Amino acid sequence: MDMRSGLRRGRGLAVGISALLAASALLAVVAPSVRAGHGAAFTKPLFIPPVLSGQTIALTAQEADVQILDGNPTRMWTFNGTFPGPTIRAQTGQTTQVTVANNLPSSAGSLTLHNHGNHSTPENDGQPDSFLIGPGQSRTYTYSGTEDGGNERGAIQWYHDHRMNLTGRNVWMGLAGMYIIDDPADPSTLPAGAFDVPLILADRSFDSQNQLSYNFDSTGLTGDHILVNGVPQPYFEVGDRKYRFRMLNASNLRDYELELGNGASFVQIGTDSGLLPVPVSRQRILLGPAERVDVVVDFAGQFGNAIVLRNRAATGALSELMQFRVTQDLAETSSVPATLRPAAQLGDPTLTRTFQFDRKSGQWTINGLGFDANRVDARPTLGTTEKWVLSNPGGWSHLVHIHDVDQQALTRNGGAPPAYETTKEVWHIGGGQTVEVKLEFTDNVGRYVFHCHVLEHEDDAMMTQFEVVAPTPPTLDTGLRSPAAHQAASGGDGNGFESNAAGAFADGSTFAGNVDGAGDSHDFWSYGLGTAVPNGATILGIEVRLDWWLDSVAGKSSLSTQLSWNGGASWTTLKTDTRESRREGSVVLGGSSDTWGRSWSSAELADANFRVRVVSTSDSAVRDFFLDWIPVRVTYR
Amino acid sequence: MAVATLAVLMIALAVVLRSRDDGRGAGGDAVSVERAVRGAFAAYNAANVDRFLAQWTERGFVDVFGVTKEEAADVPPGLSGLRPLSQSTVDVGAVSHATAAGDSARARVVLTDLHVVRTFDFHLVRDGRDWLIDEAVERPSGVPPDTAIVPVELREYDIRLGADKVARSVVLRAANAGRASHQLLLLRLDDVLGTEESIGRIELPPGGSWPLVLRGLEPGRYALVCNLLDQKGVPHSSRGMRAELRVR
Repeated sequence: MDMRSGLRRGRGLAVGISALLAASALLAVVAPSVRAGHGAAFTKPLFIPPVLSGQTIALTAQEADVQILDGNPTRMWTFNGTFPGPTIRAQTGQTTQVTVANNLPSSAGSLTLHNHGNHSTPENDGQPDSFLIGPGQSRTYTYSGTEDGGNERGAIQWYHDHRMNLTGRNVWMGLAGMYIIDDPADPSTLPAGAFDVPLILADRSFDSQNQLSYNFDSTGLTGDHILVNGVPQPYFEVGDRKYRFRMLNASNLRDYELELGNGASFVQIGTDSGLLPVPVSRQRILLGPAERVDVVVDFAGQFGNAIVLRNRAATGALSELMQFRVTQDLAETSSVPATLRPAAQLGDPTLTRTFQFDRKSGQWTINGLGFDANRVDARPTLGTTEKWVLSNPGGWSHLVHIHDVDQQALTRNGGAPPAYETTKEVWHIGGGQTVEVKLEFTDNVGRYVFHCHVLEHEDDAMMTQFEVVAPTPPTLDTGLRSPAAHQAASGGDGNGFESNAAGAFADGSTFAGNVDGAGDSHDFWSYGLGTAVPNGATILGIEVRLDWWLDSVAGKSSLSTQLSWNGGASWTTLKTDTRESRREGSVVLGGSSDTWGRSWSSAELADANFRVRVVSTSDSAVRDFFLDWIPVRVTYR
Repeated sequence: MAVATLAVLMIALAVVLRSRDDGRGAGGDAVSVERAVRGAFAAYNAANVDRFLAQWTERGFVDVFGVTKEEAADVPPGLSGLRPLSQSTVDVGAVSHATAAGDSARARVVLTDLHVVRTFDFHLVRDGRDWLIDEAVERPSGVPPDTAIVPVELREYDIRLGADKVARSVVLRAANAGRASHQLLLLRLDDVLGTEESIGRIELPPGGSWPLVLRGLEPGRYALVCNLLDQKGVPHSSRGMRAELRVR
């Protein structure tokens, strides 16, 4: 048997020596031991994982002995004792809480559960190194079932451990299951119930005692048995009608090229991210790690036949994944409508970012850098759409998975993406290739990871973070607002601007006069700022404009202001204009980013609280001060 | 000059060659050089990793792959830049110009890597009883007889082909008539699977040219693209550097 046939197939020049070495590594693992067996093909029935539904789901990570091969059972790390774990079916629009208890041996360490494909807040996303589930502990993940003001779209998702540096091991050991979002907005005529079947593909290697062996290899791990729902080469009895198969590649590295042995085509109705706009007939389907495909297979007219689900990416037993036996004569109750769901509208990108997935200095990298929990490589703004250019200049294929956000392909190598590659969230990028996607950042702010979903590439640092940030609110201001009340304050001769003080309420026409004003103070208020500035606003700055002049520039004179936030009980320090002129001139004290040495609340700007005091200063007792206008402008967001 | 403009295509191989004679006599050396070169690629084709790694000197391996042999034993080499070989078997064609003088030898080797015919000038140095290939400089491959040459002009942002239907063996003579570096990435479009499979690629600086010599292509649709990025991070392919080719 050609051991290389089971590996990610080379794509011309782009693969090179790496595949050779990977092939050899596999030989080294397999060749010396007696290969574990699972008997003849198609002798074991397909296992259908139990279904958990409702708004409260309990998952327990626990060791369990799972009968996979003939002979000894395999000790695995499971959710609720099965491999794959239970299929969770959540209703869109409903909050679902999944509580995960970590009852694995403490040597397994902490876990974290990623609901892959879900739109989750950061603390519910299964972060690799935070919000962990320690040994013996549990954690509840809350999924709102909503997105961007509506329900999350129906989709095939899956849940799996996402622990830093250990995801490959933990998933290999069995910590994975399917998570389906059921959406009443999807067509109701599609095959449902017993005719809606999950098929989870995952390859594993076993030792001579039928136990899993995981020896980290940053090229990625492949197994020498391909399991469908945890069973090697199972058979599945079907009726002569349509079935919906929700297929997930839960393998660490292996690609599959799926085809039906009778030459019939799949009708692809959905991707990673829900239903396609229209069904697409496909004779063969490439399914890389973490990708999902939603297909309908019609067994009409096949009664009595057996049809093999084949994998053209391998030879021998690895090329025959399972067998459908058409043993039941059933009435057709389903149909595939000509149109399924319109693609989500993700808006137009306003910003482009480029991410290169490559190998540098013996490590898998993104833009030349390995993962660093303290580094964030993109800070998109909530509510915006961006274009990300995902390129792979190296030779190995990468499966780029971006958490949380809706994504659509724009181009593949400069051409239009295939019809089935519209809305997805795992991007298969071969050597030398480039895919442009657009992403819409909705609902959630905070940090998320994106990475290659070849799990050993991810664990060997081909992962980084983006942080969705709230948009900076626009900066607003009140415009120049005039006072409507005034009063002389104590100081000097005690009469402030004793001549027509209300003349300073408006620009032009009349003005206020302060004769022999040295030492006088005068207060102005009722600016109407309390209604102009919304409650809760952040006050960024306050400007006071003085349109004033003097009767003479002999000696030294100045005009100062200070502000009160509590009706005149307390005052800021004075700001002073020393410009002396016999002609009217304007000066602004304070500014759009000057808060006069304190933090203001909008309540402190109310007419009862906010006051401006004008203080006239001169070394001449006979200096007269004139004030045409004393408006205030508040800048806030 | 083509070699200079294709610096990215220059690799340094170092292969420990098991010489059957003691290096006495230039004619014997020439034979042993050819045998050693063929043996090196036989190890590759046989997936004999131990032997394959043993045939590289540390320096040569680092030069080519950017990682040490020890790293490569656990992990695939970096593969940034040129990948001299593909996973598929490499067909060693003509070995010519084999000469040896003292501790130094040279040989020109024509390899077919999947569908791409490539020619290297190896420089070998003696290391005890073994030969080391100290350097490998890629040079333009000759045009096989009865093979059409199709000019491919690369510029911002366009790829112009002299023909849009070609035979299974063909030479795409790429010339960069633009002001920026450009890439010629050949992708086979699998209409059944819907994928784009990388067959070969070269990069050319402004003014550079190079023949992509292709043999035995599968009939079907192919795309020629440049996936280099402009200063804003936009792939040249998305700005129009994409053309289709049909192989009959």
